[in-house]
Amino acid sequence: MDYFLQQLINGIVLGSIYGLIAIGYTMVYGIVGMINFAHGDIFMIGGFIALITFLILISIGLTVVPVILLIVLLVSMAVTALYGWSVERIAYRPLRQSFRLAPMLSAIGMSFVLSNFSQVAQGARVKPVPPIITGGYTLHESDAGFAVQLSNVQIVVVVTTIVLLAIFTWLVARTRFGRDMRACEQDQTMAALLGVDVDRTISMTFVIGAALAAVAGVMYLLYYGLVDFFMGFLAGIKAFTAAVLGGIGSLPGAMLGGLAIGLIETLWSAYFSVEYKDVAAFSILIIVLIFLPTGLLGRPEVEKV
Amino acid sequence: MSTITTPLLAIRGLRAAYGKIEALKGVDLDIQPGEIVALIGANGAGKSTLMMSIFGRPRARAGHITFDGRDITGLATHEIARLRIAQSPEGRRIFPRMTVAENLQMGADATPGSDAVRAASLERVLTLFPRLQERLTQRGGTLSGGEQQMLAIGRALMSRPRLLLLDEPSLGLAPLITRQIFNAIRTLNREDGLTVLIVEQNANHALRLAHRGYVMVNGLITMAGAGLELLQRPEIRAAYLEGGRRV
Repeated sequence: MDYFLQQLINGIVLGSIYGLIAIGYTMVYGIVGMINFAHGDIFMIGGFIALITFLILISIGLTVVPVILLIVLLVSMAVTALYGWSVERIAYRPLRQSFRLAPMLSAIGMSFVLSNFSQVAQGARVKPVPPIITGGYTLHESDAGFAVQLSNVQIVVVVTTIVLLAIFTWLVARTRFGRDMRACEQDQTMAALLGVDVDRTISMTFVIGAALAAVAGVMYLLYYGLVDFFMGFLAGIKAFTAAVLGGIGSLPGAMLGGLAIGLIETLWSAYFSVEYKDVAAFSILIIVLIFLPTGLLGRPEVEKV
Repeated sequence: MSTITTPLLAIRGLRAAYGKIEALKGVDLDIQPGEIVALIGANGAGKSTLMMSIFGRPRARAGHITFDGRDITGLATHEIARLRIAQSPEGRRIFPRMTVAENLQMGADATPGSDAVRAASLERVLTLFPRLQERLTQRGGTLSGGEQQMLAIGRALMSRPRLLLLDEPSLGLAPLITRQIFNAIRTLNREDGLTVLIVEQNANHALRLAHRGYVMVNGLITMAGAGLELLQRPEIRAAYLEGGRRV
């Protein structure tokens, strides 16, 4: 039981990271109907920006951890958002009137560009950082000597995710920008007839998706203590799987799918074999899609963005 | 009506096409401030294309559209909307997964205005269409056809338009609801001086409502005149009233 509880905690933390990335896939799919295959690499860029910012802050002698975290988070979100915006402008917008597959192919190209750019600019080796957030709590200790641990970094990851999701949900449901975004998703022509700048709204969608991916990148760096140029690939595929599992186009679905993939992977690693955790995650995806082709929450009446 | 004043909307030699199919072949049309103008014609004559091309969709291949003396031919669709030209388009195009209140809010967002102004517009719309009041928290997609039509017109009115374009407001509606909607348009024109361009297949209704009318055939304006006068012409009666569809 204690062992299960521990894996549950680990799974939720991993699922939060997947969920944050998955929102970017589902948002972009909702508004322009394409899968942004470069999104995983945007997450990787977020991790690198976080690493660079962190090293700069350390080298100028800043030691207050909450301040470091806040600055790292904000800088990474801002710079990564700029990347997301640029990718859309350079690689997708010129192809919007083209055939359906064109932007998707372009996205695969952008994915290679971003990961190779990082490899050339930052080197191919894995970049480790010392633990930034240390310590934690022991929730329960069994007689057999197994202790359920909740580390501070896990708390930071989950709390940050919840706070950002709350802000994001409010943005989509209650603000003018959120209304514009939902209008563009449902009927772009009508949105334009009502004075909505569709191009700008699409740009902003990429910006927000990239900013959330950057948060995931920062959390990944904090949690695993390393980044490398190739980490966007598998994380991106997993988050995409999460978005499809939850129902592509559905925001709550993306988060739910992220949690599901995180938990499946962690529990499978804990009880079966670590080597086959990816196989487990993708198998569950296939099984769910056979029985629920639109994903867990992807029914038409579900609120989508 | 005299044409001494500058028209609010002037269309000159407008040509527009979908791919290779030319839908508008050189259209001239004027709307004076405070006027209701009806555009009638058979299915596929190009009426809806004309409505949409005022918003640049499709964009004009030749000719000019001026609104209030300003050339708007090359403006982006959303920029044209922000000049307070509102459209209740063909097929209504209600946002199905937004509530009725949000749909109306989308209309209000098109033009800047204080909360008080928005509240006043909302009250006006809900007075015209009390049915919408009961439906405010319901999703647009769950409304009946007549309610969706009211919502589409209401949404257009929320931007306090200077020019309102109505595309087939009576399509598929029960006669009673059609009458309600036409009465609402007449009220808005008389009380608020709202300028309206209305596209209709129901020539009888539209020409009785309008000050002036235009007849469109195959992408060209073939006839123009005062509404009631057009209604008396034998060729109109033959084509659009007696032998035609609904009366």
